[in-house]
Amino acid sequence: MKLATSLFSYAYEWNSGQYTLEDVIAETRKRNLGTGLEIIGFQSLRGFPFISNETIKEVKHLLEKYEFEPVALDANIDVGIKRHAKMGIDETVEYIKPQILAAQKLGFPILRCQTTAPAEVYQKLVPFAEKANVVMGIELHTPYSVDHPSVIKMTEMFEQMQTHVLGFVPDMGTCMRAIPDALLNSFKTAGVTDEMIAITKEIWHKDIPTPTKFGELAQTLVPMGATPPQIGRLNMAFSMNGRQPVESWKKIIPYVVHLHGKFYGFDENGDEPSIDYPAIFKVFHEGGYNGYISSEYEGSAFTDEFDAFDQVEKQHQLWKRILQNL
Amino acid sequence: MGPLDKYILKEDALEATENGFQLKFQSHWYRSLPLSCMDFNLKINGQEIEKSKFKIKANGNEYTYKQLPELDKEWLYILDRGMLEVTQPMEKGKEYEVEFKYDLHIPYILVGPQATPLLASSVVTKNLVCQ
Repeated sequence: MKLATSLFSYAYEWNSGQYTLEDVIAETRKRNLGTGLEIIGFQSLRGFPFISNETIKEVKHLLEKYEFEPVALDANIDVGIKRHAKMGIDETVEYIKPQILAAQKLGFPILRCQTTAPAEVYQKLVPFAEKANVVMGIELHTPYSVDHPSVIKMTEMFEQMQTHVLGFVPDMGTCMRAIPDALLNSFKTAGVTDEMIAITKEIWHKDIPTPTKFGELAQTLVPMGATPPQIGRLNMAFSMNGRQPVESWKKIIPYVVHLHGKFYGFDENGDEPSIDYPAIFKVFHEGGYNGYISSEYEGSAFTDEFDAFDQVEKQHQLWKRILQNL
Repeated sequence: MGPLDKYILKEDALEATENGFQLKFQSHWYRSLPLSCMDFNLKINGQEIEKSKFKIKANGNEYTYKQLPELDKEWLYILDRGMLEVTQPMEKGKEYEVEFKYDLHIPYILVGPQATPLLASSVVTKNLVCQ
C-alpha cells in the first residue's frame, strides 16, 4: 500500500487565505507526507470544474516540481444544488461529466464520486468515463457501509458492467472503534456535559440502526435538560462515526481503487484511538490491495487546537510503522 | 458551527457605501458553493434588517434576496468574499454590533426522511468598525 495526502486535511489553514496552492503542496513534500496527492476540485481550484488552461498548467507543474503522483481528484455530486428541487438522473449525469473531464485534463486517474447519486447515474456515465479513461471511485462514507442497500445495488451494477472505470473509495470513518474524544469534547462549548457524553458513547456502541440511536438519545437527554442544539451536536457523533467491522471490507476489496484515511487525533503513543489502522492495513493488504491511502484530517470540522500539517505528519508516522510490520 | 466560522467576518468586513453599507463575508464550509445554497440573517445593534433590503453580490454580479435559491450557477469561490449590501445609512469610523447568521444548505449531504440538504448554520457576533 502507498501513502498519500488529501488537501482536504488543511481546510482550516486553506480558508485563512494565508497559503497558496504551492505553499500547501510544498509543505506536504517538505514533511515527506507520501508519494501521492489528492485534491478537492471545489476547494483548491477556482472555477472548478471549468478550469482554465493556466490552472491545468499550474497543477501539473506543482505535481512535477514536488514529485507527487496525482492520485485522486475529488468531485462533489451536488444533487441538492437547487435547494427546492433535486436533480434528476440525466441532470446528475451532466453535472458529473465536466468533473470527469477536469480529472482527465489534470492527469488524475481517479475521480472521487459520492453516493448522493444512485447506481443508475454511474452506469450511464461508463462510456463517457471509459473514453476519458478516468475511474469513477465512489466513496463509501458512513452510513454507506458495505451492507447498505445502495452499496449492494452499486456492487451488483459493478459486477454487471465489468469495466475498469468503476470502483469504490472506502472511507475509514465508516469502520470506527470509538467516537473520538476530541470530537466529543468540542461539543462542550455548546454546553454538553460529561454525563451526556457518556450516554452518547454508550448508545453509539449498541447494535441498532442510526435513526433508532437518534431517538434513544433524545429520549434520554431531554428529561436531563439537554437543548435541541446540544442534541443536534451529539447526533453528529452518530452520523460521522460508523461502526462497520473492519473485516467487512473484504467483500468489496476487488473493487477498491483508493482509500480515505480519515482521522481525528492521536494518543500519547501516536495511535489513533478511534480508528484501528493496524487492523485496516492488515485487511486491505491481505486482500491484495496495493493502491493508495490518503490522509484526511477531519479537524477543521471541530477543533483548531492542532496544526493540520503536524497532525498529518503524525498519521504518516503511524502508517509507516504499520507498513514496516505488515 | 466550527473552527471555519472564524473567517466569516474579518475586521474589515463592514464598509460604508454611497447608499448605505455592505458586509463582506466568507463561507464557513471547506469548499466553494453557489449562492443557491446560502441564506443570511443580519442584525445591526440588535435590529434585524429586512431581507427585502438585501442586495447580494458575488463575482461582480448583483442579486435580490428573492433570487437566491435559483442562483445555482453563481459560485462563490471558497477564498473569495461575497457581499451583502443594504441601503441603510451607516457612519464611517463608528463601531457597530453585527450579528450575522450564515446558513449553508450542503447540496451533497442529504439528510432526514425527505433527503433534504444538510443545514450547516453559523452565527457570528462581532463588534466591527465601519470602514
